[in-house]
Amino acid sequence: MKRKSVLSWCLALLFLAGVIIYVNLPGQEVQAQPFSSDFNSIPVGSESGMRCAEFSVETADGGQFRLSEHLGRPVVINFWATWCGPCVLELPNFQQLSDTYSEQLSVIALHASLLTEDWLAYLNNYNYTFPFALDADGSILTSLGGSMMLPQTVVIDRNGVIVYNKTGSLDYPTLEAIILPLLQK
Amino acid sequence: MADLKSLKPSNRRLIQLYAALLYNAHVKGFISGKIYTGPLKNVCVPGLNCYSCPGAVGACPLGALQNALASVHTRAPYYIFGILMLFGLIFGRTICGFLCPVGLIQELLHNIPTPKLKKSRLTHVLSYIKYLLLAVFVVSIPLYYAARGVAMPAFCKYICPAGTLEGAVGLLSNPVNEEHLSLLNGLFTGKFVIMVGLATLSVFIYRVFCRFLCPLGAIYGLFSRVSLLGVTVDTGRCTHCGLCKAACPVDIRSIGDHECIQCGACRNVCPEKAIDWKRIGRHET
Repeated sequence: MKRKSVLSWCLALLFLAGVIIYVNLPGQEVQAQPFSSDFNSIPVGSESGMRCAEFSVETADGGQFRLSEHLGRPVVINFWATWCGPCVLELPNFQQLSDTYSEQLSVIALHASLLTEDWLAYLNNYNYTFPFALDADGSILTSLGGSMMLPQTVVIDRNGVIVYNKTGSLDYPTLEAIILPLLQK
Repeated sequence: MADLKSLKPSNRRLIQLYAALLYNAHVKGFISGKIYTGPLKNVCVPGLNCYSCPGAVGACPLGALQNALASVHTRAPYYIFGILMLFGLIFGRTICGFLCPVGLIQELLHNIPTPKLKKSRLTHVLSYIKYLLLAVFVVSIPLYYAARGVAMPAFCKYICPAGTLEGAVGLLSNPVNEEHLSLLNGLFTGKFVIMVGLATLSVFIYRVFCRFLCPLGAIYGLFSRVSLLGVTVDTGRCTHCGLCKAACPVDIRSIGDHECIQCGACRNVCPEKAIDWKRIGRHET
């Protein structure tokens, strides 16, 4: 009886050890999909210096925004939500960026997957002219290391490599300072 | 010299500790401040353990249920209903007694020596609140918003203390996530007050969350009489002395009913050895 109990505990502890080893193996945290046309050896990920995973979303005006189509110009992605006060406050900064540098970079605002209201109706109250879309299943935010802490802004250079990926509000001067070096040449 | 034998943890306590470790095996999450997003995360653990805990290797059954109900218009929630039924039919509320980290935390807090609140008719009545929370926050509100195309896991969002402790505090206590602290607002404050309040009450009231508030316990309680595992009374041996009910720390009406968390305290005190774990194939009287 005692031997059976000791054996059960040994097996249980072995199982626990197996699970601990399995889930703590490196590379389990971010599941990202690579670009399909891939001659670039930089890996896809969410940190600066890694390539941003490809995504394609339907924009609020019915168009399609595919990240790979914007290769060759810097791309600024802002994750926001109607329920996030700081996000809403900083959206005009991205409008200003889009207005000032319209020919030189792309800006897109992605609403997070958690909706508390009709975000399209919400947008109708404003006159934003740059693309807005919905990250419906949260996969884009996840691939960029995000987890519903908003706002999160990701800036990608002309080769599709992430140069900035942080949570937190950005004022216009800071935002501009991030993208200026990407425009040179 | 204290009786060292009484310090030895019971088998139930060991199993509770094992389960808590197993559910939170993603140890490196506590160092990196990021949650595990691998394939195991699609599997629900049987007890209450927040999906957003940096250590969590599986999903929370209540969180999964609310999210499944939130997208009920796109996909029928067969998986989570099936898993809950499977857990319920096999384990019933032995999950509460043996496999829930939130239950474990409350029991450990209750060990702090203070005066304790006794069971009463009032506590039995209060135990029905958890069915109300289940109906309103876990089922109705998510369905109401689902009909409007919005995801609203109301129990997770407004109430769950496990989410606040494991998810919010777990993530925010890591310096890697400190920039997120500036985003906290009244919603967090409310949940934090709930969590601290329940932790404090746990010291004086045995398993206050489990007995009065836990919607998961409410669900599993529905399976108490039919589950494979749990306590059962051999009515042939029972002399109706009532020692079992007196020893029971929760608000049962009869041994093994929907309030019973299957801790086995009754089994230990029965002088006729009439209470034991259910055994498959054993003749039930």
